[in-house]
Amino acid sequence: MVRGRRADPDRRVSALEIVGGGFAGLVRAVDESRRGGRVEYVEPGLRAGGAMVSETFLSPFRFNLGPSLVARPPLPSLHVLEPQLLLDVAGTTLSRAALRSGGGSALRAAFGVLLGIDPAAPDAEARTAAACAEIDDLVLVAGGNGLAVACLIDELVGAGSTVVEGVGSADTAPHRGTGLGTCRLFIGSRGPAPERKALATAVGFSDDASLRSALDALRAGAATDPVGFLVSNAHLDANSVDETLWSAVFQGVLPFGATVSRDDYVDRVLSAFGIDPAAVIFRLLWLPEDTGEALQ
Amino acid sequence: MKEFDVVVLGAGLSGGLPAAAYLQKAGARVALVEQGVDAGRFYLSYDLLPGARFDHSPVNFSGLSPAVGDLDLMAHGYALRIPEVTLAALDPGGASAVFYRDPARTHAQFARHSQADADQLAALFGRLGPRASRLLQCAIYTPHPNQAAYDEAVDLSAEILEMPRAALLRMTGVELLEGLFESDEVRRFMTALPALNLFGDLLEPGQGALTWLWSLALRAAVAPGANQSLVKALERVFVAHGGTLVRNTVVQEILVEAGHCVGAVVSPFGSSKTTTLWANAAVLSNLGAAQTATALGPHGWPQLTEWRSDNRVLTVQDLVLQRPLKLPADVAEAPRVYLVWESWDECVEWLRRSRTDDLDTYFGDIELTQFHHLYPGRSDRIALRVRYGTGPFADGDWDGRRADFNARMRARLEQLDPDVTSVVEYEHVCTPLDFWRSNPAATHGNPIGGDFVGGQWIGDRLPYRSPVDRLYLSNGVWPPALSWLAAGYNAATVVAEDLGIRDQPWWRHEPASWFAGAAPTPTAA
Repeated sequence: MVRGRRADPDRRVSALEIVGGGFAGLVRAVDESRRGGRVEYVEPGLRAGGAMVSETFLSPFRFNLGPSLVARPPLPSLHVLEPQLLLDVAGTTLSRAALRSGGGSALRAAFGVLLGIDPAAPDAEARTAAACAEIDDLVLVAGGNGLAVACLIDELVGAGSTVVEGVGSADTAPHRGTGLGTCRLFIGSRGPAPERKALATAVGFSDDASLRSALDALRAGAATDPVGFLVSNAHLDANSVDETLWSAVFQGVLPFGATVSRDDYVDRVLSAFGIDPAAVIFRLLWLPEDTGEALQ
Repeated sequence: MKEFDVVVLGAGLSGGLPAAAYLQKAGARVALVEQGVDAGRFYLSYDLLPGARFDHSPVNFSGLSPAVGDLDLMAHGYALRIPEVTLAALDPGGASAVFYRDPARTHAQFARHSQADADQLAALFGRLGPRASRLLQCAIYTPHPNQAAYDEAVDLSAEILEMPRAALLRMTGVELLEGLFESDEVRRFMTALPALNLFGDLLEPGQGALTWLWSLALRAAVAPGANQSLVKALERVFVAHGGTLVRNTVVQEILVEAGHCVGAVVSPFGSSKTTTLWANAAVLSNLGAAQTATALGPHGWPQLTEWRSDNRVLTVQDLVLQRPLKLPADVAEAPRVYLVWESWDECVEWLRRSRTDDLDTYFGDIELTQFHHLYPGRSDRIALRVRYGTGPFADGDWDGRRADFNARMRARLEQLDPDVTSVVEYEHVCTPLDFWRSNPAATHGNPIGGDFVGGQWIGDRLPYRSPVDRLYLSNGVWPPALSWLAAGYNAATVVAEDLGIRDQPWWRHEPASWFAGAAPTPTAA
């Protein structure tokens, strides 16, 4: 929310007050600052940046709370990674090059789901095509999405603006969506990591047709089997104390309001990827009501 | 730019971050190197699940620090406030005492156990209040070793306790408590915080009595919550004054040339690409003894390379409950609750065993933090932290005993609330090994920079000015790394003195001045 300019008694110049607005709100603040304006950026949530948050919780691991693949952040100096092999679905892979060339991949719907696009949506194909056209701008932030936010805030503060985070209540109502949403399971473990060829390894389907079928079953409430991707967190892993640690984020699909046992769902995800539950140090499942991300 | 006046290695809350903010504000060009995305990671907040907010470290003694005023932290978003109820102690039989912001209510709580002890405690606070600032200045906010400041701290402590200096220097914490309080309950309630060995060993003559008294000053000044805003305010001060915060970057080597420390070699987290940050005047290491020694290589010295940090550490349990834990009504209102021993004899025995490798000591001094009193969230998601111990790092096989500890922890909570298992939505245990994995500077899971049982009292800690010219330390020093920002304050002091930039008009606030101005506290009783 942009609230307009207000007097700044210290500097005798007006300041643009921006309240929240997620990552876009922060970028808006930086744009204003780069044009020479002064900004008072106020974030009601715990951290600025919306879904662009990296979190460790009380664990030795870093996770992105939102998606891993993000549009290239507006900081040229920020180191980003561009994984070439994006998807592995039952041994069939989808590369960045294939998406860039627009070649008719059988896995485009799966790639769309990874980006939060429901293949059953009327404009799903068009939106997936648009994402494929912009594939060069979809990157991983080395160090985590939160690094982009932190560097933008540093730029703002260094230029004389103010940024205050966490001013609101922790009282967050559950997201009451309908249809399908994104769940995220944050996994931190030791020992051998599951073998992964691509950034995201699928479970619960083997091609576009079985993906659509699995999503329909979820939508109808007929199943709560894990459907989604184990997304590599390797670009956030490196532990100088214990080199056997690794982490991943399972990005899955569940209906909003699904009646699932968290423990049971987590166990099924671990089992699907052959991860030894006894080796897992940290596990935390956010359901669609927690992520607030609807498949659209 | 790769050339600075000062390069600070490690942006921890207690040492590196405040030191960098002070030095940058004083006019030095400072680079602050941090391995994580955020500075002060051990002091940030996190939403484990939406609506259930936790702090990494649920203590806040920063109201004691001159930095609140010197660095104008409130103007940069710091939201510290004193709650009406600060903490409580509860024993297995249900006996309890609650500390309130209002000294009269605290007095009434203790009078339930002993009128004489309640009067004694109020009198102690009464004598501590007017001396608190100077005591803190001498004992804490002075770069030790400093014999004159230590002597004055002892003299002030003797005045507060109304005993001869010589007697104080012969006394253990246990002897002091037995002399001060007649009630078994009050002795136990007043041991829970110092039992953490935040300063020193309660069973050590001299050290033990001083440790207890100085912990009392902390207890009087606790103002939990607002932790993350402290980190962010310090970051903002540093950056707003032109500091360079080098995030997501790992220190590979501390450079020493011709006997002088001249900079550090760093690389982005997860990368082998290196960069050298040159320091014209000083390098300040907040990396902890072990990492500093590794980065220095052959330039380390015996006290640094042989430093111990493996004796008194913590295990922690985070729970998200569907309702608050069932506790006695007045205790339930406290953000922090200490679960104390059943008797004074058991308490003393626990202190004795805590010098050993006995893992059972984890279950003898337990602290609950009820975050829903600090960060009201969803009524069906109650954030509860349980801290177990201190205890030993032992053999380090913490992954092997995680399940056993988890079961014992749950059983301990069921003693308080038999139905608690049915309302657990989420549970996670963080072991000492996990703490160490989380922060390589927290060697063996020790986040405060060293051992006390092993004999690291005030004169035996690492020096702020190291034997290597232009290399300074802010970890493993005296005092230990707590949220009072003292290690960073003192480190900034010595570096600023050596650079000739210490004399600043804004760098003049007294310790505890924020508390003195904020509201009446128990110290003003």
